[in-house]
Amino acid sequence: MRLLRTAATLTLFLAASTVAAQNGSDHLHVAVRRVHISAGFSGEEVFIYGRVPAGTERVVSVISSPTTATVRLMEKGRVGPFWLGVHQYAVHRVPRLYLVSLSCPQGNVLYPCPESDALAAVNPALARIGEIVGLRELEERAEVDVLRGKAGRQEVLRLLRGFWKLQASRGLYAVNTNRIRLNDDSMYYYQAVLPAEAPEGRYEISAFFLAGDGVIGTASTELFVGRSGMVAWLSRLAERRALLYGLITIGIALAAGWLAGTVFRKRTNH
Amino acid sequence: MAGPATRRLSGTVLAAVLLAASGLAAAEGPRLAAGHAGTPCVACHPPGQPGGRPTRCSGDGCHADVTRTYLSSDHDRRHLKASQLACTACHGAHPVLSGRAALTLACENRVDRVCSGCHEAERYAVGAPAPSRKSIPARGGGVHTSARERRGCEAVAISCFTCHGSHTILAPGNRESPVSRQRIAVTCGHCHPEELERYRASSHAAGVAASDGVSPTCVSCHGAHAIAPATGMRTPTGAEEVVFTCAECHEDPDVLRTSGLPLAVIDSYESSVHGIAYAHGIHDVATCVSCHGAHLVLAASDPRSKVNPDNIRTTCAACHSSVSAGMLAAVRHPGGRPGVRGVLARLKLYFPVAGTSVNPLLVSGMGGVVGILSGIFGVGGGFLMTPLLILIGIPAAVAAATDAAQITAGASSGAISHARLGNVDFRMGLAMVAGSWPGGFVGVQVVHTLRTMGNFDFFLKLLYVLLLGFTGITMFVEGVRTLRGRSPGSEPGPGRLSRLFDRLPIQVSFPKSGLRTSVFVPITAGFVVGILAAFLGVGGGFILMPVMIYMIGIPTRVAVGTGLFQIVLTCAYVTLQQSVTNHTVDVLLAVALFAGSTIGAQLGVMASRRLKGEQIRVLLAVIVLGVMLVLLYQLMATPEHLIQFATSGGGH
Repeated sequence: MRLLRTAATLTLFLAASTVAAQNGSDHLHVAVRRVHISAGFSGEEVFIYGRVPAGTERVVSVISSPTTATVRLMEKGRVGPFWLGVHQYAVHRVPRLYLVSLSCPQGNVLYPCPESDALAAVNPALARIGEIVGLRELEERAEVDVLRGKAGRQEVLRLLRGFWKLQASRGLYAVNTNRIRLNDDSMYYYQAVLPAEAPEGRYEISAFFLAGDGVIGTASTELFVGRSGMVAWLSRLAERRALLYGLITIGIALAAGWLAGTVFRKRTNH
Repeated sequence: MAGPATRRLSGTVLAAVLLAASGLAAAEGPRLAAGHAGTPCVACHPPGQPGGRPTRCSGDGCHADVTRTYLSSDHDRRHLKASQLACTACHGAHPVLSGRAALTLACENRVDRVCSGCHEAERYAVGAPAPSRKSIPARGGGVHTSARERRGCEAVAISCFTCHGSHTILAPGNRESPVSRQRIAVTCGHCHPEELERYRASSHAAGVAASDGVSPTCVSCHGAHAIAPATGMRTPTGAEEVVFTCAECHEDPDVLRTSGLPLAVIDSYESSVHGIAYAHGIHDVATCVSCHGAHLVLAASDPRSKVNPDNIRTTCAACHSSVSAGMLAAVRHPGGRPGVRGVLARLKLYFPVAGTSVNPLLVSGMGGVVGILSGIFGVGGGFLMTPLLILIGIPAAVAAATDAAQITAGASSGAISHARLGNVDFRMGLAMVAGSWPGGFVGVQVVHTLRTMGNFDFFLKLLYVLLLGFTGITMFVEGVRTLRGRSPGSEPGPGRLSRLFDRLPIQVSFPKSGLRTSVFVPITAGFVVGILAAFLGVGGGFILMPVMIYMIGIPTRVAVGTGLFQIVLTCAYVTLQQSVTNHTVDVLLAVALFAGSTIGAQLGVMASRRLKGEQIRVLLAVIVLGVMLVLLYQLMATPEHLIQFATSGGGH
């Protein structure tokens, strides 16, 4: 299965290299246009590839769900023997999914570029075109309201670091420093891992091509992540016909209880 | 067709030829004399033998024992019977070489050549042709051949004979053959005793001894004829290829099915940090043999295994100066469970409202356990189920809401059975619901308002701990006292509060409970439970239970049945409210839970019939206290993430 998938990906990649060689603007491709969340979905690997502009030294790619949400967070602290929330915040404009992948020219698989070094190597160049990646992007973009407790800049930064960690533990936020591979300086490719908790929506995928201290090219495309089949039907029903959905749920619950009761009564009587 | 005259003539001619030959042989002297010095030609070539063909070497008392042995070997039995005189095939005719001389011949590689004369060219005259894999590989390359060349003939004289034997040669499939699966290790062990000792203790050897037909022997990894040096990179046991050698069996579906080995160990190795490096051509990383050993390969559960949890740190320390738990986790690759159990373990279902995928059987199993408790004690089980669902990755809001639907199913199953047993006081139950519905509604609103103030969950949990601790200890003490035989089977009876209840207006009789009390008693109890249920995100059964038994004075069994009845109605209401206002009820998750909980509830009801009231109370007290301790621990233990979502936690 794994072999089959790899073979299929490779074929696709080779085919794409041919196409890319003919078409000068093919800097970013996604192997699938749409990721289906169906009953068997438990995360998905998405193959992303493209041609790099001549002279590219590093490639950075970002996948983010542009649906920004407001999340309410609290910071726990120790009070006496107990842990309780000492600060409460509302954080606006944070992506639900944010995956940064980088190429790692100096590192190898055993010694990948450390995350901080890799980001420090690309962020100055990206900043010139008004972009930034990693936790710093969150720090720049997110708007934080302190709802309870007193909090300064340091506390807010600590909050965002903690939030990143929380999201990373669910696979929703990540910086992969050694993910993108460059092939003969003409193509790049990588596998992006969408977790099982990946939200629905239109994801934006962007690629930045860096040489020296500057960005020599950018590309962006979209990926649709949507529910399909039974999963789609049920979630729409739950959203749009909530009363019906609730009644159905109760109906099933009572029927299940009654069924078990009846079956067991018959068995006990025998 | 040759007549007797012709035969006689040919015999005469042959005699003449032989005489001439013996003359020639005499001229060659030492060559012919090698084994048969002084043996007349006619001893092997008696006159009158057609074609000058010699008889068996056993004639006239010569080589009788050896011949007998030879006749039982596969060379004679299967291939060369009656058609050739096989002795000369190996020993030669003129000269005939003795055993020691044959060793010398081996040393000169002539034996290899003699055997390969048949085996490589597959020149088996009679019987089944030798399969091609039996053909002897070209000289050179094999570690045995090169050792022989390097160290000289006398030191290591390894030839076909060394492993296959000489006269008793048997096919490898024959158990008696020294190269059979059963005996090859011992054969190799003549020269490699240390390896034999380690291999004998391994699970591979145990499999061979048990004739499992799949466990590897020496030749499975090292090859049979062109045995490559173990230290070479590009050899089956060398760093560059050993993973693929192990994969030949450990990725073979037939082998995995027969042996019950874990699935996809190679696959999971390849995605470990070592495996990724290996796949990128870095060969000084740990491979299979680095951790599992080469000859003494044992299951990880074996205490002698190098990868047993007790020994793993020592094993890693061979390369790493310090070993952290994270490092161990990064390289651990237990593989999947084989067979049906494995398929079930790998099952995943995407729950649409929860927005994540979980094994539905795990969910059903949890439902079953909670259902049993529900049936025995008349509790909804929400106090257990919600934390369990959060633990397996269901968002807290969905866990709490779906739990209400689950409790409806589990409790209705229990309630129906209890109703049949006559344990439900419907009048009392409905009166409670009249209180619990508004209570639940008020509770939900209050929770929403209080949430914004922060730390609400903390104080609720604390309240919960106090409440559970108090009721748990009271029930436990009381139950144990009754169990000790003060008055077995007695019910606690109406509490002191009942005198107060007697003075309240609208006195109603509850014949099932054997009580006459004010209708406001159950309504108030229901209201309080409704609020608490909404606060705590549970059905409220096990708060209601002590209230009914100790404060109102309802007999335990009737309290259990009535409690369940009340819970069904309360939770159905909460489910609907959650569906409409928060969209947090996951119907698939609920169905997976029902599948277990409804059956569990029935088993619980059966069990409850075998238990005395006070036993039920003590058991419930133990569970209540257990949950209290878990909650207390959660409040005091350092959380994994100091930053958390503020909206998570129980409550409707």
